[in-house]
Parts: sequence; structure tokens; C-alpha cells
Amino acid sequence: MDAKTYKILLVEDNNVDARVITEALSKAGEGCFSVTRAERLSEALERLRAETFDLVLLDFMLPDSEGLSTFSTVRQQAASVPIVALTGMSDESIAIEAVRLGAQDFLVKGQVQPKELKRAVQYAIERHKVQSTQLKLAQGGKTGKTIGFIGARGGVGTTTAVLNIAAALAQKHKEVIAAELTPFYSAFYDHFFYKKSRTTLSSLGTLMKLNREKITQWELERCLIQLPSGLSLLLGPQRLEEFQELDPEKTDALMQALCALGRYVILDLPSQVSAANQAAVKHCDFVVLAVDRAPSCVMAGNLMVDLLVSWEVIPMRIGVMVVNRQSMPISMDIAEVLATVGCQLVGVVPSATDACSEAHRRGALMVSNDPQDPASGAFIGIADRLMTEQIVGR
Amino acid sequence: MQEDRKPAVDGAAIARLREIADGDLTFLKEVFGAYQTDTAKRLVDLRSALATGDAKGMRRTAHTIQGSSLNVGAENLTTYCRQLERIAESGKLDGAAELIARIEQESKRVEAALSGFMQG
Repeated sequence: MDAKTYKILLVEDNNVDARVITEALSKAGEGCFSVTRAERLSEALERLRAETFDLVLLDFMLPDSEGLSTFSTVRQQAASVPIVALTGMSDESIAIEAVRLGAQDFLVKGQVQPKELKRAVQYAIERHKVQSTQLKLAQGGKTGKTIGFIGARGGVGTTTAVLNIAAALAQKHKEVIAAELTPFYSAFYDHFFYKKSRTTLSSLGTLMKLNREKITQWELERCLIQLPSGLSLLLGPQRLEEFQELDPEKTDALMQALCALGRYVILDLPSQVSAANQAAVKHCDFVVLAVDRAPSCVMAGNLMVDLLVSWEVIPMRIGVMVVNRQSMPISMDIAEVLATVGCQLVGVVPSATDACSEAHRRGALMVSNDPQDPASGAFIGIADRLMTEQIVGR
Repeated sequence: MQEDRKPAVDGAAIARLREIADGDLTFLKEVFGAYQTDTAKRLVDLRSALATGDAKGMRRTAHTIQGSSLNVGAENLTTYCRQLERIAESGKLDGAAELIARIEQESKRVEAALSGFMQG
């Protein structure tokens, strides 16, 4: 930990909240945070004009401003300063919207432990730095990115998310590849081709039969399936004889080929502790963990984050995508999910069984089938966020 | 009126404050003191918002009491304030008077509980 002091502007009119947050920062931070408080928006703007801060902790309900407009005003005034929203129990949805609009994170008042607060603040500051550097890099060099998606466990909808986010990217960018790194039956194939033809298509299985040195971008190119939308797919195996654990060395070679060929590579990783997964995430600029709100799934997500960290993925480069599934007997709220899993929010996907099955029936994707659907909108939002803000270019 | 099953103040929230305080009793005193002063002031605000039919002011005040109440674990009070916030949001203040009376009563219980924690 470096000994630098972070300057924090706390914008909070409530004395109790302000006192508790200041104390928590001073205790947990052991002197690495210096906190300045503003009680009104006007005062905050004045402060921001007068001096530089490393972070703004912002309550949205102030005497002279409320809701998202508080956020956008501060954002406008100090575009280069990261903002973490402070919310009450009743305004989680506003906070999520703020995150979508570029806030780094949100904290629910009265629930945050000093350690979490410290971590949230430090992450927000560091993440923001990485993003700014990335923005500069993007203006010059290569902007290709590789993003891994992994479910906290099977069945949370990771594949649906991968396909739709990749499709949303393909609407704006060229050279987008979605690759399914599963040792078992291809879910991509099931989605697009099963009802059209039962002939097997070239896949990961084809590549994995080659020697490691033979797995090049040229071979890979021959195995990709192009959709009319421009999105390229690397399907998982479809034949029994191709079902086998992926060799980590070959996976490494495949990842190199994918990164060389695709400007944006979106991976669908199985929820497994495997050497192949470990080899794959090494090549990822960012890893998105898909969880639903069932407590057991969130706990699994927490362990998955530990696993990723043990594989040397930097926590700052892990994000959570919360998938709202229907008929869940017990579900946790977003703040609880984030606190348990311990990483940043990338997006929330609303439940959309109908839109999903309709798209599936047509062998299409939700984002192209019905862009107006809220779930499609969420996928498009996540794609935008992953590209523009979150992630370091390779 | 007395159907509240939960205690006025949730022990876990106090434990959290104690953890933040890390043995610093003045901090706890300050927080409880600020809570009581603020809440007393806001309760007056609620009354005057009710008298003038100021739904927007009522909503904001309820929200603020809710925010501070979360910190000291005043769960029932938080719930009532959320309810009041919702009523005020609708623009019509039906039932607001009763709820405010409830809030006032509950805040006395909270105050008593907090003094208890200070002694203990």
C-alpha cells in the first residue's frame, strides 16, 4: 500500500451520515484519506473549482439538488474525478442508473463496514486512473479487448449474456468474436443451428485435435462461423468424441490466436476450476462474473472471485453482472450481492424469459430480435460500458 | 400502535458503530448526539410540512431521517420513514398524520435505547 494521502470530497447534508463515514474512513484508512465535507451541491461545486480531489463521495439528496441531476451536475463540473454514490435503502435504482452513467460504484448508507468503505474508495480511485490511461491509449494504439464471462455456477444465463453482448458489440465494431471454451456440448450451436440443420459445424473440437503449434490464427479463422450480423463464433464441440477436458497449453495457443484475430473477443467460460480456464483468463483484460440473486449463487460467486484472484486476475479487473431470473424463492438485493461478492457492478440484466425464448425459437439474438426489450437494453448497455470505460486496452 | 416486534435499535448496527469507533467513546457520543439533535429538528420539519401540505419537503425530510436512522440501526423508524416517503411521493398526504405520530413515538423509543447503549 502506498503512503499517498487521497483527498476525498464528501458531499452529504446529513450530519450523522457524514460523521460516521468520516470516522470510518479515518479508522480504516489509517491516515491515508483526508476528507473535506460539503453540505450542499453549490458548496461542492465551489470546492471542486477551487481544488483537486481524488474522489467524490456523493449523496444524491441534498438541500439544493436531488436525484440523478445531482450526479450529472457534479460529473459535468469535474469530469476527471471519480464519483461514488451514497444511497439510502430506497434509492438503489437511482444508484444503479448512476453507475450506468459513469459513477464508479455506490454504497448503501448505514451498511458499509469500514474495511469495505476503504476498499471501495481505493478501487474507485485506482480504477478511474486505469480508465483514464486507457482512454489516452485508445486514441493512439490498438484498442482490442478480451473479456471473459464466467457464471458463478451453471445455468445463470452466461451464454445468453455472452452472445447478446457480443452481438451488441458487432453492431458497432468489426472483428468481434464470441468463443465458447467448453469441453462439452456447444450451447452456441444449440442456439443458432440446431433447428436449422443437424450437421455438425467446425468448432473448438476441431482445433483441439491439432498440435499446440498448429493452433494459429489461420487455423482458427477456418473454424469460425460468421453470422449475418458480422459476429464470428467459435462453437464448442458437438460430437461425443470431441468432448474432453481442454488442454491448457492448447487453450493458451488458442487464446493467442483469438487475440490476434479479433479486435474484441468475448469468451464464454464454463463454471469450472480447470487449468484451461486458468490459461484463458490470463489473456483477459477483464472478467465478468455472472450471478443471479439466489444466496447460494452469490456465495458461489464470492468463491469464484477468490478463485480468479488466485489465478492472478487483478480484483479491479473483475466485475459482476447480476442476472435477475424469475421464480427465485429467496433473492438478495444488489447491494448485498456486491458486498458479498466483493467487486464492482458491470450491469443488471432484468428477467426476460419471453424475449429470450422467442429469440431462441427464431435462432436469433435478443438484441437483434427485439432491441426495445429491457433485457436487450441491459446487454447493449453492458457492451457499451465494457468498451468505453471499464477496461484497459491490450 | 404497539405492534412493533423489532427492538427500537438493532444491536448489529450498534456493533458496527462500535467497530468504527474502535474504543473511541466520544465518537459514539457524537453520533448519538448528532442523531438526536438532527432528528428532533426534522420531526419539527415534518410537522410543519404536514401543516402546510408540503409533500416535497415531507418526502425529503423523511428521507433524511431514514438515512440517519439506518446508521444507528433504528429499523422500525427507518421503515416508517420509507412509508412516509412513499406517501409523500404520491403527492397526497393521506395517512401522513398518523404515520408522523408513529414516527414521533418510535423516535422516543430509539432515543431511550440509544441512551441505554451509551450507559452499557
